[in-house]
Amino acid sequence: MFLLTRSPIDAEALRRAVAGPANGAVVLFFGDAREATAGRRVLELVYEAYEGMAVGALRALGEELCASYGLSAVACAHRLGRVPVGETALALAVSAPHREAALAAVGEFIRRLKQDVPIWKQERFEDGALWVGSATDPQASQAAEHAAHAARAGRVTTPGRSA
Amino acid sequence: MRVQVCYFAALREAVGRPAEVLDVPAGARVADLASLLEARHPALVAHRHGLRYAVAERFAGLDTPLAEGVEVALIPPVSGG
Repeated sequence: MFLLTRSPIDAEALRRAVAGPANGAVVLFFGDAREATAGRRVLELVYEAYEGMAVGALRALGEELCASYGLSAVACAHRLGRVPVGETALALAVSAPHREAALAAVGEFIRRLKQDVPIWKQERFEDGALWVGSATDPQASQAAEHAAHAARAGRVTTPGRSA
Repeated sequence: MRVQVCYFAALREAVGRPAEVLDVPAGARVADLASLLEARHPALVAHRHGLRYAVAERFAGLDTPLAEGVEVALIPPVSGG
């Protein structure tokens, strides 16, 4: 079960999706919308996805980790649209015969999701909003800042003639 | 030939629309489309760092050939979870 949803996530449905008699361990992970980032108060998060590709990427990642970690099953649900502070944006369920594999696979799944699954998060503040990791995100990598700076510096404007 | 180009998140806002259909020369590759897009939408230049492309919903390198009617998505750094 891999889905993107605009409604609150049904964690029990995820747990049922990975249930089975071979399991000695079921690990549930919830990624919740936090009230602050880098000292700024966050009002809400907004998520957007390239939906077809994102669902396919979540499923492929789940299948890959089932094989490489010897898992029984993986299920994942990710919210789209507005997610108020305190609500769950991402839920992941992993089952396996033994806990070590299930616990390790949760970390790996989230790490890979944050690298390769086309889902984007916008943080909304009292005085603005930003897409996390974008060229306009001050928390993005220093390399990104340098690249953005170079791009801005390359855009020459003539004083007194700009609109 | 015509391709459908999709923009997301900060790129969608920079370009001002979620998608558009563009004409590209026969035999064009992702790199050719990338140049064409930066000329058409100068705001994209600031978003080069970490930008990836997907062709038909799969990550694709700059040398990937395009085909008539294919969907190409610009994928800025992702931030799910």
